[in-house]
Amino acid sequence: MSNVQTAERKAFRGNFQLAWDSTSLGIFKECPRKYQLAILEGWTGKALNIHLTFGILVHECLEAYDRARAEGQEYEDAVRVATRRALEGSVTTPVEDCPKCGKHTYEVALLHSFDPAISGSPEILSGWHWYCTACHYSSEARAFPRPLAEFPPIKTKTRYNLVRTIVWYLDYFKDDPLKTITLANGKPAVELSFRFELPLDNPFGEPYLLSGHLDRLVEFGGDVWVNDRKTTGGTISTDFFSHFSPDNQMSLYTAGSQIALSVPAKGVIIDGMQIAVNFSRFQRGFVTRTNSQMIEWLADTHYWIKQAEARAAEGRWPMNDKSCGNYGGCPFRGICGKDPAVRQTFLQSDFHRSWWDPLEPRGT
Amino acid sequence: MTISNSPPDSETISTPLTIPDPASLDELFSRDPLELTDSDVDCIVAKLREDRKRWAAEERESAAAGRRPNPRAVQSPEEKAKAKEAVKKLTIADLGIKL
Repeated sequence: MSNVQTAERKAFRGNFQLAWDSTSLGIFKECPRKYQLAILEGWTGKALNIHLTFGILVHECLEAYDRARAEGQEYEDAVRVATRRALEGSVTTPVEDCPKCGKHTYEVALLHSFDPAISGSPEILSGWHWYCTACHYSSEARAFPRPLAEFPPIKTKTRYNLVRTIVWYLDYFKDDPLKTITLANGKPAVELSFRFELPLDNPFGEPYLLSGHLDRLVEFGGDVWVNDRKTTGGTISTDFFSHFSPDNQMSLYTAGSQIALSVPAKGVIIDGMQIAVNFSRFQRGFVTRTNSQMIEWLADTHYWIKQAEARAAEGRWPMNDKSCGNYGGCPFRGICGKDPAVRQTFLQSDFHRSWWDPLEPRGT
Repeated sequence: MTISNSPPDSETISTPLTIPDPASLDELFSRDPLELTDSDVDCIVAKLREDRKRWAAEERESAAAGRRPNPRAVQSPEEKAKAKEAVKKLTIADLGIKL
């Protein structure tokens, strides 16, 4: 069996992934070799992925807005909360090696009142700090770090455009007919993690798990829907929404809401957000799945998981060299294009480790 | 000495929604966000809302005039491919040139 360097993670046992989400399933479907490198071995590009960062920040800002409204704050106050989050979140520095544990997980963060139970520090930290997400080591930052806008120039994904997108989006949907659902525990149904068992056993005799993370659950027209926000640089047209059927993530959201959550959702309402140089534009679309489609998707998911299990048992993950050019080009194309004898050297020089764990809890 | 009980001239009342000049908006963005007051954030929001009104008005004008969509808009791969095909089919007459 190939000696794949993995890390201790809840969703994995050696080479075997026991809990799957749309990210890891999607990558395996694209290319088993990409899956080996990105998911099993945790290789991630060292350069800031501005598109991913921008998308994460949009979600964080809208989560802050949803929570503020659920707490009873007025619209303008909640907009202010979200705008502050955008301004504060879009300040960072390139990740560096932690001076204590050596892992490439040391970055500047804004710590408000960091829970000592998490940070391990006896003090409650606040203000700008260098902080290691692996060992929780922290030290005070000397000054206000560089804003996101100064990073590798992408004309659309700037700090100003992030703040603009948040304000314009919230104003566009100010009288939103979608109402965030309140859970039985009184919390708003935002950033919901879910998991459920499949009727399919892993090599250790336990059922495989599917897991996911929903932006929010809403009530619309008497029905429950998942609401998901997507940022894009392209124009949002009918084409944009047609890309979500079929789609791994939307099918998993629908399955998750129907199987794992107590209120089955009718489907997914997608808020598309076009981020252009001088404007942001929004469009809403509906993605549904019939029962037959869900049965088919679950059966196909069983197939793909079994394929991954077979690859793990063999210790071999073949390349799908028809996928190298997809989505702007695979980040590992430069690695796979080299002789196997030198790939590890280039991986260590051009990438760092960041371990994806579908069972790592987030949000509510 | 006369003390006026009437409210001050409304033009001199500063409100959180007063639109700052562009220079100060840049200054607000360049500041440590921890130092921004609620009023500062409201200024930023108000300016962004003005930008949106301006953009929406431009969009309405373009639509009314039947002009092409905003060229600053980023095109999807499908739109780019359609535009390429359309260019291939152009004739001399389409360009308004008479030979």
